[in-house]
Amino acid sequence: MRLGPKLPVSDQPKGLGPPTQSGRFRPVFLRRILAPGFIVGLALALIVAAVAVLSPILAPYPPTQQHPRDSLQPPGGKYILGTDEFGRDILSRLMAGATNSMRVAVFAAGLSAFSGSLAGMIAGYVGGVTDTVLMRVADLLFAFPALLLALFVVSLLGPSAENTILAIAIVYLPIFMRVTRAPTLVAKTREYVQASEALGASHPRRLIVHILPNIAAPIIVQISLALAWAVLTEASLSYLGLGIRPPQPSWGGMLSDSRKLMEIAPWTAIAPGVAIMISVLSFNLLGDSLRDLLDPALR
Amino acid sequence: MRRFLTQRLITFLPTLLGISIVVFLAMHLIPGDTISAQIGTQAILTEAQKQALREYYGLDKALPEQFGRWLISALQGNFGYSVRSGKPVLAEVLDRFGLTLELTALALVIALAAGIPIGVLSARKRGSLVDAAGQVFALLGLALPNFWVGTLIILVLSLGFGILPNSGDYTDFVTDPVANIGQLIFPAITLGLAFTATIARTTRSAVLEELRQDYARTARSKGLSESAVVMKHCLRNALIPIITIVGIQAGYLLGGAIIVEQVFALPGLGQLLLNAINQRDYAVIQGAVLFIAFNFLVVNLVADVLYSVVNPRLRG
Repeated sequence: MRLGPKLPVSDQPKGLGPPTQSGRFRPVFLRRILAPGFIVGLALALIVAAVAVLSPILAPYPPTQQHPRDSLQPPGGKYILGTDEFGRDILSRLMAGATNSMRVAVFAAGLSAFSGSLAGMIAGYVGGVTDTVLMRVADLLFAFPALLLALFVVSLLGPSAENTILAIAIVYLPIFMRVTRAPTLVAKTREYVQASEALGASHPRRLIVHILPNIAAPIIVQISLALAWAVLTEASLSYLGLGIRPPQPSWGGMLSDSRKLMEIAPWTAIAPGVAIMISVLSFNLLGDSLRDLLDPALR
Repeated sequence: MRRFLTQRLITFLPTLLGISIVVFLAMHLIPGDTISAQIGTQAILTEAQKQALREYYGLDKALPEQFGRWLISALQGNFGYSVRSGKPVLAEVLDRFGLTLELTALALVIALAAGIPIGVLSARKRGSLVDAAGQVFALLGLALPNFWVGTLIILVLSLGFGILPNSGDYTDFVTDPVANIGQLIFPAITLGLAFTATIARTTRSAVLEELRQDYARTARSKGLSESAVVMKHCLRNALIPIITIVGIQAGYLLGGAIIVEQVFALPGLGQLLLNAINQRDYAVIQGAVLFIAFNFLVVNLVADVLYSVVNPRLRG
């Protein structure tokens, strides 16, 4: 598990060797699209997303339906992954958990990306006192261990899916601010921005139409990494009983329930962990390979 | 180096003050009235009684004045009293801190002792099966939630070996070092796993980067064995990025410890904080959050000092 939000540190392209011009008939872009990390990451992410969207159709049972006579059934037979102490089908709960987890992750990453990028772009574009104040706030948020800050926010606002979204978004906010501010500073001095200024474009138009597309790459990379971190953090908070509220299924909550059943029903402790691992792995892989793909510094 | 360190020290205090302001203001965002939140909804107080309590606690004053009073008493070591236990918050926090510190330090040692060799091996055998295994380990280590790893470790130990690592009372290091380490070793492995992965990954790419440098070619061409080139020349230079990443991330172990303590039922700072959250013991929440954040800052400061000592480019 990652300990904190991933900082935007450039990484070496993995297993591809230095990006030389040797492949005249296989452009670098194509090679990177075909990199195993990207393909595996994308495929896993699509599977997780498909399960999250289709869980009401795919799940064999309603996720909160109890089958008291079938409590703690081992995997196999009627219940593919077994049942929990209330006889609820673990596979169905896993699928509904994907829906809940992805909803939190998508909204948190979206909220954070939107407000963080906006604040970062304004800081870089306006400069001066605005820049200083905004970036000092970002520094302050960075001065807390990520999980502690998320816990603190949730403990003050009360445990719920909405507050989990808010907590994760706040923690990831400074990262989006940092990855957008610096490229905005560079972009605003470029000729194409000056040209649009000369043509009479307004400030918002310059920011959104001209600067944003040119700084989109780091934002896209960070969204993918933010999704991974959000899944992990939501699971952690739910594990601690401060995230998604029962009886709504969440992977972290399922693992927390499994603690007292571990010796008699170890299967309750396996499946949710695998689900978390696959989701986090997919978004990490996707984010890393997108960075290799989009980062012009490495091209 | 002196200028770098002075600058670093100068920013330390304002950041600490900023953190206190954030925590103080955040505590005022709690929905509802502080008095009712602390005393509970069962106690029915008249408006006059509530007003008297507000005046007694200084809650009728303006926010900046409240902050000033709070800061002054905090600087004197008074962080208020736990509503549940009645003990001073600082005493409660310090009482639990030893365990968390030991767990975190042990996790850091494990991560360094395992991560650097894995990274060096991966870099030396680049493209081999060993390298692939190291890379997969690094990816999984970052994707596995530590509370699940802890659960699996407990599962394997209890089902496979009949050991219950989280049973019985906690023994501190002074009373019985062997029992103490025995209780903390599995939690520390759990906590250190992700960090091991990060260090292995950083070490691999840093050593590979150094192997491409001219001095590495010179060392090879004068007839040094590959292991001498890696161990004597490249690793020493690769230590700079490794120390950087250790500095950036070591503080996050403090956050991770909160969860690991919960998994293994260890009475550390994390458990204190979580109990306080569940019992709405706001003075303890505030004290514990501030204390952990303070230590996070100190860890980052120490990392920066170490970094400037190791990196000769900053000397001068």
